[in-house]
Amino acid sequence: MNYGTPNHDELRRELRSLGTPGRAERRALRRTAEATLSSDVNAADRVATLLGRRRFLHLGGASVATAAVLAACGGTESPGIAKIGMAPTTTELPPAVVNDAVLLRTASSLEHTAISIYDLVLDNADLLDPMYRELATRFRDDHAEHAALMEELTVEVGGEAWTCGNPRLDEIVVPAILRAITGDEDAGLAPSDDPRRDVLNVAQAFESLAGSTYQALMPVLSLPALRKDAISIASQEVRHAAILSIAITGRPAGYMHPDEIAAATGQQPVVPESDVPPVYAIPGQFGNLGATQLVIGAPNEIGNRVEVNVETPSLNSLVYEYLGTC
Amino acid sequence: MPESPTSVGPDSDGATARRRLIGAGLAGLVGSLVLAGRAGATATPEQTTTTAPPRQPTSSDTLLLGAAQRAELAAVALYDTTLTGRQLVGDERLVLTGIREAHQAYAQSLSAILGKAAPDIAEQLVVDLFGGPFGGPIGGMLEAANELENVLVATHTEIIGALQGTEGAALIASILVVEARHATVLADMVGVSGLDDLLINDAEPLATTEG
Repeated sequence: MNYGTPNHDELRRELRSLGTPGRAERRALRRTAEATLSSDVNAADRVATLLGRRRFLHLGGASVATAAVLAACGGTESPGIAKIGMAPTTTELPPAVVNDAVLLRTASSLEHTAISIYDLVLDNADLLDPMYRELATRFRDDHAEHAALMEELTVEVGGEAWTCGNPRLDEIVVPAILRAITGDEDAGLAPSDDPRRDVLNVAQAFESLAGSTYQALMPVLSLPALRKDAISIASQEVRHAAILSIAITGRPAGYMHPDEIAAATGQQPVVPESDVPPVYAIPGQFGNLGATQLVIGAPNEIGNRVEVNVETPSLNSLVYEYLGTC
Repeated sequence: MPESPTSVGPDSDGATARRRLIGAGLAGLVGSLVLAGRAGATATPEQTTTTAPPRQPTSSDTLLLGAAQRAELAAVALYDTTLTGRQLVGDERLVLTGIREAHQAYAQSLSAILGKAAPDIAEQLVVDLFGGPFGGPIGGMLEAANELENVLVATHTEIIGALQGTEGAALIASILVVEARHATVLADMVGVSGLDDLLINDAEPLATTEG
């Protein structure tokens, strides 16, 4: 290659020679595609047509990929994309159908997770202020009743009752919450500066979660009778949440979210001072289906605490029928 | 759902009378609506279904949602009686105004889902039943407001059990769960502290019996 002043004739020759293979490839690909798409042969023949011709040798890597795509789009004899090379055998996932039984199993799983949280703190005065023991015991017992009803309904709709906690919450969310409260030396987390405050907030978050979960079941449960049972429980869960909100934030500050008051009255009420976001018995005009943000644990060196999003069950936290029983 | 009958707050003669009237007098008014929605109400969990429920309100749903809107507008009228008829100060005014605005928003949302079928009028019998205490001393007003919210929760629960369309059920549910919170706050403002009184709703629904 001459890097000096370009000789125009030489440059044209170079360009022509560079363009020749590209044109040939495009012509070959067009001929192959036309022959394949206009024929009546089946998918196997199409692959043979594509791969058995000598002109295949003239085609580049892109053409091989095109052949695989054309074969896959073609007939019915080949159930999948043609494989090139060795691929490990895959194990098919079990069917994950979302039906009434799955939704009711998920509901009972949440109740059991709530029960286990109350059981953890009920007899621990470091975690639960004894003045709230009666309240927490009552809420725990309510959850046990709700779980029993959901399990009964699960069986009635033809499913297997789920009698333990929600696997995803129990494996991921609850341990993270407990680590934030009790501390985790390996993770560099100090124990909470106010475990009793955190435990009340955790209870409030899970009660709100339970209410939101039953509310979220309304458009997906197939039978009105099931929706009625679910919303009856929701109305009690949100009362739990409201009582806890008043206990945490105090009265009257804990009654209603300041934004709601401001929107209704034009007056901005005094927001209570708190180390963590305050919670309210009436957080909004309509029931919320979004995540509840939980701020717990000791502040780190820049003053931030652990934030955990407690979310209503989604596809990755439903208790599918293939999980069987626990 | 365990809903054992217990009273909410100090039980006055007026509250007892209202309960009786809600159980009897209003039954005739809304009974026809319940009859219209009876097909959904009789569905039991034993029945299996392979058909997805409808999303939009059915014709019987429209009647039920209309009854819900009339009840919400009655609540607005009652809170207006309290808020305009006296000098309320401080937090009581703020909270009651917030609750009044919520009921207004519920009525508007139901109007949106109902369109031209929205009745857009307050249920006069509810206004008449609760009008006295809502215009009276604040203590009795808060008790009556707590009772009204519980009646609305019970009514909406029955309506959800009869609605076929999921869109209406989802809207009523989003209203109901906040009205249960309203009831808890109003009970706390009255000074109710018993857990049964705070947690168990023994109110009669407006639309549970045939007229």
